[in-house]
Amino acid sequence: MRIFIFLFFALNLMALSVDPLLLRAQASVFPKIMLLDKNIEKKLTDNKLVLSIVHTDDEHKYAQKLKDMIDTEYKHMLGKLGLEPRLVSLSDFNTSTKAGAYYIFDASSTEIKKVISHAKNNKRICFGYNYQDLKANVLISLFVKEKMYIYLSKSALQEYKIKFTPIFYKIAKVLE
Amino acid sequence: MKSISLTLKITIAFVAVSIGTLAFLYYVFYNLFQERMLESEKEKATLIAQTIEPMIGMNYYLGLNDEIKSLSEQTIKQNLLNSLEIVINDKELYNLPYDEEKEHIHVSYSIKDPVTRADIGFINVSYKLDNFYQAFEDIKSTIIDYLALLAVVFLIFALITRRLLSPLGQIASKVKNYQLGTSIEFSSIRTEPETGAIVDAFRRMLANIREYTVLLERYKYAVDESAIVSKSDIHGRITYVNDEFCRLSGYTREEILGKSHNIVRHPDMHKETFSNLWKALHEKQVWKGVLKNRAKRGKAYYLQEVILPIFDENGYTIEYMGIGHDITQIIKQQEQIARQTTDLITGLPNRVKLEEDIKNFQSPKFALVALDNFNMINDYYGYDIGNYTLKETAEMLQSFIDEKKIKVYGLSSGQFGLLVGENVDVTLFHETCADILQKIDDYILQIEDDSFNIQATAGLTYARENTLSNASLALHQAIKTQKSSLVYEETENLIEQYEKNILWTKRLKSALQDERIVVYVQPIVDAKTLTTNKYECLVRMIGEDGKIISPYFFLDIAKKSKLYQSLTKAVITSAFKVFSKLSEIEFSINLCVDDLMNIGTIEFLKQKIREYDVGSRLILEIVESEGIDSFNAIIPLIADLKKLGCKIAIDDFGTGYSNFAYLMQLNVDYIKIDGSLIKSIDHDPNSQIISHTIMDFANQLDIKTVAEFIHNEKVMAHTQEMGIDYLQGFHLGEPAPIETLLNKTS
Repeated sequence: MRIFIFLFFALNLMALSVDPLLLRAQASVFPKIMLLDKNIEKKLTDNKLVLSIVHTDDEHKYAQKLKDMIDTEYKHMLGKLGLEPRLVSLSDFNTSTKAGAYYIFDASSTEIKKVISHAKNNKRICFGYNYQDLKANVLISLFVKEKMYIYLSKSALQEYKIKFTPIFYKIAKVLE
Repeated sequence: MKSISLTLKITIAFVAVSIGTLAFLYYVFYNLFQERMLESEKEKATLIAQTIEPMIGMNYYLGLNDEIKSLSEQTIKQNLLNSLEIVINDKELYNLPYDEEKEHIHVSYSIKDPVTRADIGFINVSYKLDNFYQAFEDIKSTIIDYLALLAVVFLIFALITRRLLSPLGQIASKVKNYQLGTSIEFSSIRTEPETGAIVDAFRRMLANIREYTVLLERYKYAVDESAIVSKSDIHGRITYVNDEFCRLSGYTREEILGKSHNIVRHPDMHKETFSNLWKALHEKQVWKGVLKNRAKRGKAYYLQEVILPIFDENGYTIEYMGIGHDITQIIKQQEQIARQTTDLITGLPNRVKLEEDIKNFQSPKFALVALDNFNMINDYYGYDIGNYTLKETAEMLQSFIDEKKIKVYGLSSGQFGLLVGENVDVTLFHETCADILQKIDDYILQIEDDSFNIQATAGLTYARENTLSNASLALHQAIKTQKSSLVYEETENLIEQYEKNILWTKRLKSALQDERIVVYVQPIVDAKTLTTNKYECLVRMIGEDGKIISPYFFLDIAKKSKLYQSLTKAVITSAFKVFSKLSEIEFSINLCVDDLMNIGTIEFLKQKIREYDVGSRLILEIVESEGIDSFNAIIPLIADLKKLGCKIAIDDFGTGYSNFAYLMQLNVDYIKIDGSLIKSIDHDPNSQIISHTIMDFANQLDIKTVAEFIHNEKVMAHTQEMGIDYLQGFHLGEPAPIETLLNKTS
């Protein structure tokens, strides 16, 4: 029993290392960053901003939470555009999955690479929950400590070939 | 300003210009530069706002409000802003307190949504002006430093200028004390090239002054020697006279200096002349004119004088100087010339002046106006009355004529000349002459208790050549044709007649000298008995070729050429010589009015009557008796002649005769009826009526009648029937030389 409880918590810890505060901050900021993409008009789906939250089964609950947060925050509208966060299971993800931007929780798995690669190839922003994932070619992440920091991967930016509103570069912390 | 030295003036001018320039530059700098600097400061403030605005907008957009605060604090740390306020969507995100003591400028800048670019708030920036004022203070202190430096420069400049200009002061001091005749020593003065040039210029000027002073002295000497010079003070008191003045006026210097110029003023000088003189002098002008002065001994002398005011350096008159030349001799000559060109009786310009004036006109218009029978006035009333008549007529003409247009001349023998030039046209001149003649005609001359009219005749000419002679010809033709005036151009054959007259005058003179004036006699027959006991003596001239010439050709010439009296005398002498030898035969001689009015002729006649004792047989036939103007003069003459036994006959008595009353006073013995009535009496009722009237008149006065021009039997019969006493004519006997009578009796 102790072992079961230990494993349960250990697995939970491994699987649920999601900070709700950070998640809330990301729910608040990432849709807005989508709008800072200079070519966002070409990336709309049915005239909507679609943010595909790609998750594993373990991450589904947090993905749903993130979606709920976004819906609560924006009520499906960002400015004049509709905003639709979509939950996409990693197993269901394919190249036909359309979105204006992608959100992943963990870039360490092999499967998730295809999301990053797809995002990169289609010049779509790939947000990452963990800013450490910027090393794995995630483009933008966010971290909250004493204040909120937006991270932008310089190397990824060169590969993604996405152009943001210039001042964004002043706001975001660019990581080499 | 005069007392300020040139050095100080230059320095002051330099300082004034420099300060003015600096003040101007400072003013321009202060106004323009301050404005530009403030603008620049404002731009800086705006730039700060512009710089932070996108970041603030983006941070706000992304909800990074902490970043906004952080950014604001970082901005404030630059120490450029006095305050910073950030308001987005009416929410104040940041506000740094405002420090009112510090000078600042405000800039407000809109914050835009980075996506929609819509205004979402604003940034209020209060920018400190500390740096600006600091910069300004730095510039001010720099300018003040420069001014101080300039003051030092000015001081040095003034000292240098003073030193450089000091020779000018020395030159001025020496020149100021210069007196005519002295020299100035400039060698002690330190000279630069410029002051050296001034010294040279002064040396040359002094040399010129010396030269001109000598020249002026010579001029003064020349003027003193050649002119009459006097000077007087502004009150007219004489202060200087030269020797020539003393010599001419007869006064010594002691007598005249200090006296008024009136001492030599002649009483003839008009007050107006001196009024004009003083007016000119008071107006600081030169007066020129002729002065008639009186010398000490009263003798008059004339000066052609120039009087000018002498001014001091301020232009005030300090004295008057008169320079004159003695023109007494010239004035006397002018008076002499004036006398020569003036008619002494009338005071009008005379013939000499007329001839001069005619030459001055291109197309003169001239009228020769002669008073009719003026010689009779002279002869009858005497020359005093004649002269009085001329003067009165001249004055009347002058009062009537505008002398600016028409010049009047007094010519000889009661003649006046009227001359106009191009300014009066022919028509106007003609009309004016007619008016003048009418004026003379209307004029009543008053002489003592008597008064009489005078009349005039005019000859006009518009020719420049022979003006006088042409007018004279026209005048004579006018008199002859009994016209009041005649223009020379209207008498085309005048010259021819004139030449003819001259020729006949010569022939007549020659005949008188050669005793070729002879007497012819024509019988006068008793109408009842047809016996001849009377003869009329008629004058004839024997020509150079021996031909007998009728008086028709020379009688008028004799009258005009004053040979008529000689002719009368020749007839009297010849007739009396013959008839003195023929007792019992009466004879008649013709006397015209001129003969009767000529005292010499009458005296000659009386003398010859007595000499030849022919008075009782002599009948004096008065011809042209219609021309007798003054019977008062004739009546006593006739009476005298009748006392000598002479009988009086009136020749050519006819239609023109109106003075019947005077005829009665003449106490005539015979009336010779005009031949023009007799020659047609046999068939002309008018002639018969007039002749009958004359007959009745003669019968009532017991005057015998004579019918002339009996040229045929019918006429003779008719006259005999009328009861005329005597007959005369070619039918009864043609004129024959008087000597034939002697032959008959012998």
